[in-house]
Amino acid sequence: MSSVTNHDERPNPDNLDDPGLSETKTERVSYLRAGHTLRSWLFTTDHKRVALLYMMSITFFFFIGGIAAAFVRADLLTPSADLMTNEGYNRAFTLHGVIMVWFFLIPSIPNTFGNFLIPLMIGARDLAFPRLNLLSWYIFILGGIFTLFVLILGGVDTGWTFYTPLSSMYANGNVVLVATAVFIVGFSSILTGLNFIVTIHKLRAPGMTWGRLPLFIWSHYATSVILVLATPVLSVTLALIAAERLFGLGIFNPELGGDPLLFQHLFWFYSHPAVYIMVLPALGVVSELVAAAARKPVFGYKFVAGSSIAIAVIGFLVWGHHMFVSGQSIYASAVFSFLSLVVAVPSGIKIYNWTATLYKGDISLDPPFLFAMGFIGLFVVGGLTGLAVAMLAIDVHLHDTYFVVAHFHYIMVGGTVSAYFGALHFWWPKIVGRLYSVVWGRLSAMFIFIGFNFTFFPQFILGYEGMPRRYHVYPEQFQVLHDMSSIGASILGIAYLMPAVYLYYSLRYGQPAGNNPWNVTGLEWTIPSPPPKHNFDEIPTVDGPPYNYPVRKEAKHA
Amino acid sequence: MRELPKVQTPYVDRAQQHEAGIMGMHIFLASEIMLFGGIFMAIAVIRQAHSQEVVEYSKELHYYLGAINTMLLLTSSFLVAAAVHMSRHARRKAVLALLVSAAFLGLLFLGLKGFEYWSEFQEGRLPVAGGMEKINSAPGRLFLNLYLVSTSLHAVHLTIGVIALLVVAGRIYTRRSALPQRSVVVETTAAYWHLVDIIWIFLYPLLYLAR
Amino acid sequence: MKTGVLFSVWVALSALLVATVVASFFLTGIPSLAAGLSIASIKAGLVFWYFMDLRGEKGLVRLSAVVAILWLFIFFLLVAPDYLFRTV
Ligand SMILES: [Cu+2]
Repeated sequence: MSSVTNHDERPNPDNLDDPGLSETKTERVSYLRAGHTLRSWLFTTDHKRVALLYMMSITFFFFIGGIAAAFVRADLLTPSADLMTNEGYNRAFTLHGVIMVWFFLIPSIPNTFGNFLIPLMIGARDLAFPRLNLLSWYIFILGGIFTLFVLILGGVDTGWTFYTPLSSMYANGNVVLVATAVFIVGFSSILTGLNFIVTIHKLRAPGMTWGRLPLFIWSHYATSVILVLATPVLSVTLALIAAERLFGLGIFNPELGGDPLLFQHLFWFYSHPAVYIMVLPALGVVSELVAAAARKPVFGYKFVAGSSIAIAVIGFLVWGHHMFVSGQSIYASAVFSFLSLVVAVPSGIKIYNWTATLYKGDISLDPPFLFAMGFIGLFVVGGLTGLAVAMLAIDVHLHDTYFVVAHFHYIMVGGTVSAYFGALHFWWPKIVGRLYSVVWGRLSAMFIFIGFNFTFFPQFILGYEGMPRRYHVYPEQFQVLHDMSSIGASILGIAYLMPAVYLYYSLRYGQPAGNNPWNVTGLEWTIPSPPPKHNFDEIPTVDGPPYNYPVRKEAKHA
Repeated sequence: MRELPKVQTPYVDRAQQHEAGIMGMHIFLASEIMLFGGIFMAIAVIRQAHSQEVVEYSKELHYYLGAINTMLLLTSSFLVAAAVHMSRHARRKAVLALLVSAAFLGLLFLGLKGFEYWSEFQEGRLPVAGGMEKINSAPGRLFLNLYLVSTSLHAVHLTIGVIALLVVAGRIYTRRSALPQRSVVVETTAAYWHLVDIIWIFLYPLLYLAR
Repeated sequence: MKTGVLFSVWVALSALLVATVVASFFLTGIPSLAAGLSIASIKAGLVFWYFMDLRGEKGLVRLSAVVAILWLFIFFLLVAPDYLFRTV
């Protein structure tokens, strides 16, 4: 960890009379202290403050979604329906899915770390449209309020996928309200993506060429393209669902001449790329963490950067792999199966290049690195099982089983949430200006990894043996595996709460971080932590490649 | 003395701010294209599955009213494009006149569209309660439903466009947006207006002229 | 002079509108659809190129203006094998 000596006054954790939170000189002029009123936060256009607003809101939704998951796992402890009714169980997993996907995972890394770091990393004073950025947060909150409203009214039972004709004709819940909530939150995504694209194009500091951009920026650029091009299709689809339910539009109703599969095409045209909205920012984070841990230039920078763009583009061509058993034409299925195998290539490129970057690196086992390792392990498992379900023949057996549930949780929770925590542990000193306990950080990284595997690995076996998803009554032979999964989930839940404790402690008593506690490259580490309101006193000029660590020469053996 | 507009926070010069504004609007328009893309997909699927009924019910629509409306939009687009040209040369009065007349043509479009809905309702061919006695096949009704959804979604966009044109005209009239320095507000609003026009250019043959 | 160009584009657009209406009187089925869509595409191209002034913009703006059209094309292209060959 850092050897930065900081002569600023700081709180003394051993002195019980010290109330903590005393300020260092850097903090006094930082963005955190630029206005103390609630108003100065709610009407801020500072990208760093908007990032914190987002961070607080998505943490809140992560809790709600987590509580819904806890209900689901508790009910699955026994083969019978003893905790919830069938209807109640449907509502619990739907709520879990809707909240986790649209109110946590999609905004998780881009809207917090992306918002905070993109201007810092490219040497800009803010995003291209600061007021639009704040507006997107308000839109997000409005969508969130709608969702909470649905929760109070009793929820919805369609699953997060809103499949027709269940959602359009038979579901009892508040489908229209929840569709409205997701419709609203979509505009927040679109505005964020738009803002990022223009920022990355137009606000790079002098000398910050495309070949010098941090990989975090490349992956956020790719993410933003998906946000802008895919989200509107979801919006219009949800609007059609609402029209179908309210006015009997008929477009998804076969009795009226419509086609329920059209819904699935429209929905997955958004929702498969949406998986990459969740995972591309995570890949960007891990690229940063790996380079920082190895303290070496990233191996194959151009390939890692290009693979982000390739994932974004190819990710649009594979949605039909969700429809192999839906009755779509087998020719379409064959095309989609092939394209789904292709999209694994750029992800593989990233993994190989990370490994090569770490090779003979100067690795320190800091918490961010452990989270990055956890990410890579879980992402590889999730990715490889993804290849399995992308194969037409295998999918017929595994479709709609716990195998699929385990697969996408490995990607979205094992992958994205691990990367989110990795990012939190890496940039926390930059965001708040204080160091946290590295030991506790390492412990929570390990507990999250263990708890996660404990929860979801048994689900691969469950699914392979035929346990279908979305049922809470099951044959007794599945109980052992289900119980393992539920116990793992409680470990995972506690592990997710651990950082809240020591990060809060660091906020009050942590040692001031200094500009660059990890001794790494990147423009964001050249300015004080926490950064001043306008980031850079003078816009920096970039004159070298990213990750410009000195290359160590090995002594040749005679 | 004329006060030059200040460059806002993240920007270093006015050209950069101008380019960012134009690019932001084009990306927003890309998302609008994708939004209507879902509707076009639905129209395509229905056309493929029930081409006979689609043609039959398309023939009942007032194609000449649609043609007049297309003409109104094309003309308004021409006026708006001319306004952009004038704003770069700081011809303030000309810009005002062009923007307001384009907005007026937009309102005419909306009025005519409203009249069209009303007459379809009278004829029993509008798929709303009390207005569909003459619709007697399910696919036909589905086609008219899509007609109503897509044209009304377009009308909503056009209404926003009319408001935007008038707001920009107001800003130029009160000199809150100085020309030619802030011609970007005219350019971005114009781009939006053109896109709403382009969407109609596609909706018109697909809905009114299916044969 | 510049407005002169815009005016001729307006004339061309009006002519194309007449063409699309006239074509609908004579053509049916696929040819009719093809005529309608290709005339609409030409009109949209004229609006993009002259009215929206992509002619005078940089490559980047041109790209962001057409990328969605390309994406929609991909969408239609990949949906087609399902609807054209579906058996149930
Ligand atoms: Cu998928």
